[in-house]
Amino acid sequence: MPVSPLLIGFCYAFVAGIAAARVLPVPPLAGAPLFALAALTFAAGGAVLARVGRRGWAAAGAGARAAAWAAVLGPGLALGLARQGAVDTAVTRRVAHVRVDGRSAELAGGPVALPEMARVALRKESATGRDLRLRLQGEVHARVLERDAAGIAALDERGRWPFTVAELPQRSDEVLVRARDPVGTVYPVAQPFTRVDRVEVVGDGEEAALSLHAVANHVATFARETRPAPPVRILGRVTGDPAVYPTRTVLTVTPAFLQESVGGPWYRIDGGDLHVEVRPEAPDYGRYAGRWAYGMDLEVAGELLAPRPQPFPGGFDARAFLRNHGVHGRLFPRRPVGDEGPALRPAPLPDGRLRRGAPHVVASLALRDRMLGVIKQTAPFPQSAFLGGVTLGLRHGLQGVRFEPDRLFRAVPPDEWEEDAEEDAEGEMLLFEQFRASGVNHVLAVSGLHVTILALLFAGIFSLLRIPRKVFVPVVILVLLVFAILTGARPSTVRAVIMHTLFLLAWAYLGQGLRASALLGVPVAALLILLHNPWMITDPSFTLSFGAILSLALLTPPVLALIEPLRGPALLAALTLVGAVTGTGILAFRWLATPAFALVAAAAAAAAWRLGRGLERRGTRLFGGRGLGDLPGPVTAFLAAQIGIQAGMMLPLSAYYFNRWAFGGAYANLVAIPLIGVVLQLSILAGLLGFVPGVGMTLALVMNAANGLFTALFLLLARGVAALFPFPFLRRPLLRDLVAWYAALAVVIWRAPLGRAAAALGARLGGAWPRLLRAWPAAAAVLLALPLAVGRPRPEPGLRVTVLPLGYASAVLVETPAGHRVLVDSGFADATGRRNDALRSILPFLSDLRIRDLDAVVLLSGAPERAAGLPSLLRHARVERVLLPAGLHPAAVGAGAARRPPVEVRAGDVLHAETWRGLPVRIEAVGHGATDRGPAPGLAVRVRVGDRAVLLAGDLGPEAQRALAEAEGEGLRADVLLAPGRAAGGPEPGAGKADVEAMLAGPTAAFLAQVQPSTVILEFGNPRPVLGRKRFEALRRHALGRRFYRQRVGPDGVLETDRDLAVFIRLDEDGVHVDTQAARLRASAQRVP
Amino acid sequence: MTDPRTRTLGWLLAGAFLLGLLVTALHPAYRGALRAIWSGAPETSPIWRSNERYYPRIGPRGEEVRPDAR
Repeated sequence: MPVSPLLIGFCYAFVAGIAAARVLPVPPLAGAPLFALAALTFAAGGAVLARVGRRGWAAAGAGARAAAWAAVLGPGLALGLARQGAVDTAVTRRVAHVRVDGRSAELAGGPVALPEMARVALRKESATGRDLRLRLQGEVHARVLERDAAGIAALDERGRWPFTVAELPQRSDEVLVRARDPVGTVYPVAQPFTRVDRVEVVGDGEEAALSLHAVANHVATFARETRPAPPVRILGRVTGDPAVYPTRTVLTVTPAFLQESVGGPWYRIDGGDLHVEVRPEAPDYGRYAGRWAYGMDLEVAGELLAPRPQPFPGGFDARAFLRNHGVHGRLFPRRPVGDEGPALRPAPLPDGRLRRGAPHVVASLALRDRMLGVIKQTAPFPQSAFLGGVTLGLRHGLQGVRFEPDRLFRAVPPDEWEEDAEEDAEGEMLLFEQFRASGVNHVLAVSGLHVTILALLFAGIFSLLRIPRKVFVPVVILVLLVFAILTGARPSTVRAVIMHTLFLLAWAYLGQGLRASALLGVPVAALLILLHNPWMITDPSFTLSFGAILSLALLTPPVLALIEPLRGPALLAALTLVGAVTGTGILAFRWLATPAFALVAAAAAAAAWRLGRGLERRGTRLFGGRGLGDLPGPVTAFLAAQIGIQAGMMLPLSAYYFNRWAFGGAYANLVAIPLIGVVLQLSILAGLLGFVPGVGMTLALVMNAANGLFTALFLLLARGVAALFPFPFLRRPLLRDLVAWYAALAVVIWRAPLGRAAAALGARLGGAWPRLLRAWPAAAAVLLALPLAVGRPRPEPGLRVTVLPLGYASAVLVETPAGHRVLVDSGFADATGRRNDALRSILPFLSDLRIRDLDAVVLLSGAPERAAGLPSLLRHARVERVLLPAGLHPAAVGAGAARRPPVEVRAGDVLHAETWRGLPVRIEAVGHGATDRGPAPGLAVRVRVGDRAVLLAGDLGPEAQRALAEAEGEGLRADVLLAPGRAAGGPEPGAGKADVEAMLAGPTAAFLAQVQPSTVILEFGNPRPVLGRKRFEALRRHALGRRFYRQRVGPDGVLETDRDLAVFIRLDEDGVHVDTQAARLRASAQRVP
Repeated sequence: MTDPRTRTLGWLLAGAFLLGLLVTALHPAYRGALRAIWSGAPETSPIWRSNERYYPRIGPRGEEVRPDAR
């Protein structure tokens, strides 16, 4: 029986099962039945395989073989579905039906006992004619934490938290089930229960059906969406290596118990880790800022916030990213009011010791830190940071590191660094950014490349020492395992270690080659990783890693077959093509994807070919008669592998995940990959030599002294490529585009067997078919192009206004029905490059909408939170016009790089006009005057379809608001208002509460009375990055402004971008349609998170 | 006989070692680091001092460095 193909098939079927469960979500709680189904399919499959095996594979007919394949693929698929179903956690689960009959209510099935104290909720299952008031009665088993005289909760000898349990009768507050609420409304009950005995009807009732639900004690259900969140307290254990950043430490904590309010009972937590963010100001910060915190038990009080979901289409989904790693909340330590003791403290065992983590992990992390000590002694900063990142996976230490060539290799003490850091930082990218822009950032993600280099180094050293292969292979495998642990056991490393282990075992004991073990190793590694954590299937670390290895294994041979025969005129033509692509990519990247370039490049290649032919006829031997096939085998194979990786992984997946593609990566990696091999080997060798007593550290210094040259070369390469080559934003491909792309690659990879199958089919059908089927590649191309030709999903008609949630910053995209695109404001960007709304938010959003050109960018004022992103925007998008408030100097906002001189705008100017379905569509400036920051000019812009309008009030100060209200009168009316000055004006200190209230009650109230909006949008978020110390004033003013708008417009009419995320407004002939990203996410969320 | 690739590795390592010796002899920071290692006080080395803010709690032997101990 062909065990290997069947096993490969089983693994891929399992992966397909998980993917299917994600696309067509299996209902929560379906995990158990699905596992039963999987077990059944396993039993049936086993029986079929045993039967086929007894008869012998060779003797089995086609039917029996098909049955054997089905017997393998079916269970794989079922297991995948079941595994994904098992990790889907329902937010609530129904525990009983409740029938209300007039004045009494009945729990179907009698009292409901819950396995743990839990929050419960009622759900409306039928319409009611009148309001119902219900109350639950039962029991609660409340845990009370025991503390010693010093207030410390110490663990018992077995490491358990010290609780006493009080069994108390429980009676809930009244639950009001309103008649007007739709069926399906969920009513949370304020008190927790361990047992619900009955439901009482308070006052008069009527017939109704409800259901009782228990809320999962999962971390995600306790986390709040926005700040300020009432502090909770947790008891838990640090279960991961602390991530130590220069400015904070993040602890991964698995909570065991959670207390929602001071003095309240403790819930036992049944799922989800959280990140505890510890700042250096915290008492005893050092206890948490290192490997020694791993395994520690902690008591932490603070705000528990849910990770931010995707704030707008194309934005970074921190919630999904952390969910993939099992993290469902972020806890910011803060002591609750009225509580005693520190916000964060370790919990000791009775003998005063702290618990430690798993011994093998502790040992691996100690080894890592020891090697880091060696690196710090033998490599100057920033080379040390680079070596720590690539050798030990310490990427956090590279955060904020800027690379300045004149400091390279000089061992400058940090004090001198800081003296002139400001001026040197000008225009210099962060090291991380340079690596991303040059396409070599993969070296910082410990991956298959690192594992291969490590395996080769150790195998080479053992061979040099003449140790037999069968003896040293287990040692190399052990080294790889330790390496995986000490670098954080990321999916890419785990994948590579599993594959290398299989390869090394097959090579040492079975005498098998690389390709056979790679084709088996990839799916087996995928199965093992996804069995452990199925969420990984869509995580970039997983898909990029597997994309890379599959590209290497599958695409290298066909690319090699394509390039090896190149010589003479064909080689000249190919080089011309590469030169044309490279030159055009550097000088005018946008032109690359146009048909005009394709024609010109093809013509140039054809001309080069003809020229080559002509020269050869005259006796000239091009390239000395040599071709790519004459290069040493490993060089051609490496070249082919690089082309394969770019086509199979970098281009499609970078565009899909990150909206960008490092064009220079294809070239930089030709040098970077061999170079990193040298750097990594010398660095590991130096790290290990440092352990040798006596001369060890001296030898390590010598090794890293040589390595310093290679490291410097690497850093200079990344810098040079980042400066020379573009790092453009691309139109984000849809999933179906990726499918078509990979299908096309599959045709290239399997063109020979496909061709044979087509020929065989043609011979079988006879007639004209053999000739027709010879054109199968053309048919395949048409089939692949079909999904692309049917057009993309069209947005709903009308004028669309999208308010992006950028915290304390602004950007609004206006798209008219005729396709005119205007961006109002360009977000914030700081001088250090750590925050840049244009690069991080606006351009990815435009990329998601497949927009590369903007007809105009309008700035409502020169405030940094509206204007500072403009230079980045101008660099990466084609902006036809920049429009500024009259009086604002273009140089003040970096508008000098605009294609045309910026245009001044005054009140009354029409920025754009068109007609749609007989309705006038206008973008017009309605107000111009002093902003809330003083005399600096600002604008208000109105977007209008017929008599429906959205007013973007910018930073207009009180006088400008009053003047606008008086000048326009009722003409100022708008359905939606983007509130002026982020609700209550600028951050300038000096204005007391009374002054701000007077401003709101005076000019702003008069302005609002003329606008009469049904919806007001408040753009607000953490002001710290923009305002620094002035943020407290802004926070105070915003709180007053928010209250003002809620009173005037009603709480339902106020949308806040920090809570509701992006706001989508559509104006059409039927009216104004307002939707938010948060509402869209809620509509699709039934699970945790 | 040793595998040719293994021999190449051996030559590369030997070459790197010679290159490292040259750099250590010529570069003042590396000379300073060598003196600090030999004198048993690695914290005085210019290379160590350039790394003062890089994982400041990790000592020369990977041990935890408490701020009051520095």
